[in-house]
Amino acid sequence: MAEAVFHPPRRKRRVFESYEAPFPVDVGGKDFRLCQAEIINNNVIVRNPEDIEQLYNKGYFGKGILSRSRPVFSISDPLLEAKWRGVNTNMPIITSQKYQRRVQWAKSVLQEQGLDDCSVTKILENYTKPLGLPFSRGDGAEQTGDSCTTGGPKPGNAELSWKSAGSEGAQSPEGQNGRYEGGDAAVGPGSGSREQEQGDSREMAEGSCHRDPPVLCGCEVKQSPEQRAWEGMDSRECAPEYVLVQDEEEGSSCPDDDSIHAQGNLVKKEVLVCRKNPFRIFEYLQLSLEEAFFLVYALGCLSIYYGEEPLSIVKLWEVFSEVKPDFKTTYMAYHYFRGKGWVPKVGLKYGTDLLLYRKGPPFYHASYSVIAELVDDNFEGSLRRPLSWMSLSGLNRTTANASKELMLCYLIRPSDMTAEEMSTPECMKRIKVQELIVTRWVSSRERSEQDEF
Amino acid sequence: GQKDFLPDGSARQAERLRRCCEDQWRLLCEERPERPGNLVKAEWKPEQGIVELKSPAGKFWHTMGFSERGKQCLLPEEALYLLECGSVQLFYRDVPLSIQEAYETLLCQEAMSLSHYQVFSHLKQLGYIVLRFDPSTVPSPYERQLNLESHCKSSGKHHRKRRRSSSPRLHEKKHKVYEDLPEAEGTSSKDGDDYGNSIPMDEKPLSVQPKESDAGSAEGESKPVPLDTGQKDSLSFSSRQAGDQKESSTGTHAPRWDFSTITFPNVASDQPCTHLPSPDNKLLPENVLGREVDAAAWCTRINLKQEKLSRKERKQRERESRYKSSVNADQEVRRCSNWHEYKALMQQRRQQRVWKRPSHLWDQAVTPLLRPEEVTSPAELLQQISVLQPSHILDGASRLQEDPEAMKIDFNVYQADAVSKFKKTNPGKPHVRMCVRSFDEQIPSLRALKQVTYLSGDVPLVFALVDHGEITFYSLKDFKLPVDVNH
Repeated sequence: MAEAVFHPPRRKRRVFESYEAPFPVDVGGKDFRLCQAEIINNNVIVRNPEDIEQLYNKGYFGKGILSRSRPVFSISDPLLEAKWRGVNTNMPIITSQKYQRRVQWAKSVLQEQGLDDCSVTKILENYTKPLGLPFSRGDGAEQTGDSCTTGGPKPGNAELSWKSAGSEGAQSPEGQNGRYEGGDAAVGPGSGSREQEQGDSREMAEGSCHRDPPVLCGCEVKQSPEQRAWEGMDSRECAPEYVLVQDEEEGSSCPDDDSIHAQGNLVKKEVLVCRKNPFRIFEYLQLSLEEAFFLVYALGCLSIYYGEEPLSIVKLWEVFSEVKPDFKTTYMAYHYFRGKGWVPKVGLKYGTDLLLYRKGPPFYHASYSVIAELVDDNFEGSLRRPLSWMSLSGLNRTTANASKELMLCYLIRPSDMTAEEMSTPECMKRIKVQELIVTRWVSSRERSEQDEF
Repeated sequence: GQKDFLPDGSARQAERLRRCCEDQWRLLCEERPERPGNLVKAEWKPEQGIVELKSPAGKFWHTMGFSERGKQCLLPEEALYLLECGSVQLFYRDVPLSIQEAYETLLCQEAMSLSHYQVFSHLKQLGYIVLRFDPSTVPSPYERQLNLESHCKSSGKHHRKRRRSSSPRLHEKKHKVYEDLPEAEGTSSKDGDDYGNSIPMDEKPLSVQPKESDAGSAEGESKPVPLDTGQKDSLSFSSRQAGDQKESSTGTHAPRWDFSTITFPNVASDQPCTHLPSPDNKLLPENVLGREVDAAAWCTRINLKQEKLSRKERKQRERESRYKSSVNADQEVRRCSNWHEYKALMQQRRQQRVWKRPSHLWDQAVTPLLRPEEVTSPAELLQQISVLQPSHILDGASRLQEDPEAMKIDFNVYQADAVSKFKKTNPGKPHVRMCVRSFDEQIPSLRALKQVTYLSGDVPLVFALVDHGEITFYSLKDFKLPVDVNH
């Protein structure tokens, strides 16, 4: 009988990433890093940014909760970014409306904490006032004093190309305003001087770090105490995020302004103003149950906490099986394919259990769409997805349209395997795997392609 | 023009539809003229369930029909098909059967229902030769094993022309190992330097086990690595002088030099040794003078040109530097003055790492599979974590054969191109075998699949699904995902 032919995976045309490593654990165990995750609402979440990077970059584990796959969330509005293209900055650019929404959220949080309206308004006004850049030493609030070891805004925030005089409308001898003007991409007058150092921006961040009430760091208030397990998160989370808000303002009488909405004598301009984001949202990495268990059991490089307590492997096996009744079946398939060096991701979009990628999603298109089933050693079992030929036909069609092959993965368990044995992952040692590929045979094509079959 | 998708109630549409239907009817009603001389007369024999030819068979006899008691006969599906083609005229009780009547009369057996016939007809029209399946004609695995000749011939194209007698075959037919899988570049094989060449490691084929290399690699013993040529020459020179015929450096007589006392001067860039003493005159040829040298001056003049790496190499180094680091950079290692100390250091480190292992994972009944310090390569890492066992579709299949519920195979199908060489009496191995099933049935369980695959022997199996005259074919084939380690 002929076995299915292996078709090598297709490379993606444009690859934007470089490959780091197959797993977050290196051969030889050098630089071993134990990552941490928590169980929140039956989901496994990783919050520490270094852990997130490690787990995603080395093996493509998990998915950013605010992104399509890689955690690359930014509140920046792409349309505005395109519009203000000439401005060289790494700060996100958002609309005034979006910013106000965040102010509202922060306000309601502060109110919930029992502060009276007056204090709330005062705090927020202070926090959200427009900022110049730290070049101006006159701004007391922005002075650095304390040391805060982690930087504030995005680390790459180096190219702030404008200097500021701190307040709106003022034109100091240093020249430029603390904001960008005009609707055109070109930056305001004399912007050639790009001497701003990135050190300053970090100073600014550091300075503000301990000065503002921690309640304004959006993340902290969202979490209940038992969800915060480590210290390491604090400094990052309380450093404010700086954003550029596109505000409209009444025109001043600057002679070299580009006014776009000239209405009689009043001139409305769109300007970008730098402010602190009062409601910062952090993106975390969510691991599927299978991915999480693999990292713990197969590689030993992840610890999963429930509250303050880290869970043992057997406990996790039990807990996950309760959360997802078919967890053992899907996990075994996941483990099998990882053991072959392939990257399995969730197959929800294609109506199956797993999608198999060679190396990782950025490099090759997924090659296989897999359905996993557990059977006994008479090769029968109650199927998770009983398929008629009709449904198989439909599934095969959609899979083929996406240039993937449909695979059935049968996990064969000996009939003498007890429930007790199955209560630990060691039961996998006695389980066999049978892979089948579904192919469509086209009768009219077979004539000339003798060897194909 | 564009298709109409929905009824729009217009008279024009209704007229178009009516005309379409009319044309169809007309086509179907058409009488098909045949030359009476070509029509073969045949009679339906219900007791035997076959059709007997009353006049000599035509060209179809090459691939259809059989002889019984001196008479030429056809199976019901063959007769029906030929009737539809207009090659035979079917009679029953001396009355010619219409096509409709023939369908009703001939397709009453369990073995040949309407769906079976539809599959048969579909394949015949495409030119295939279709015969009924007979389990007794399938050679058993043992017989197949003995019949190496034809076995090899059928898959001969996969074997290399010259068999190397000394090297063992790496793969058996049953548990094929995927070797040397080629990269498919898809449509973009011409994509530039960007990634196509800059990640050279990826172009390497997926490999499983060490492959049997064909290039003339060491068959005999490898020659011992010759010593530094200068010495070798002088060796042979003096050997000749001593009257020794052997030129190999591993002569049978005891070497004249005590190699444990001879050191090679290390003039590497990080070594301070630059002073080379004068060589022993006894070792030099007559006309060559030796002298001592201070190579310091030379050392400053070499390695001046910066090594120019190709883009590929640069990228490779970049990648490697990410997770490889030079052992010389490790200060503690440098402090070790011999192997013993180095090993002690490694041991100490290993132990340190052990405590760092969290107890909730390691002080338990079930611990993580991977011990990273024990593995020295990515392939080994994968091996440590691979605990599930592979299975083949035919494993355990033989004990399932007595099952009366087992699925039956309906047809043997031979390719159209094989027609000229086809012999009814010895048809040979079919191209595929067919199981006719219905669309709303469940797909075969793994058990059923194993049974029927075993039954099919070494011929691939296809399921033919009939849905109101439309036929789709699927097969479920055994597969082994190859291991991917060369990233």
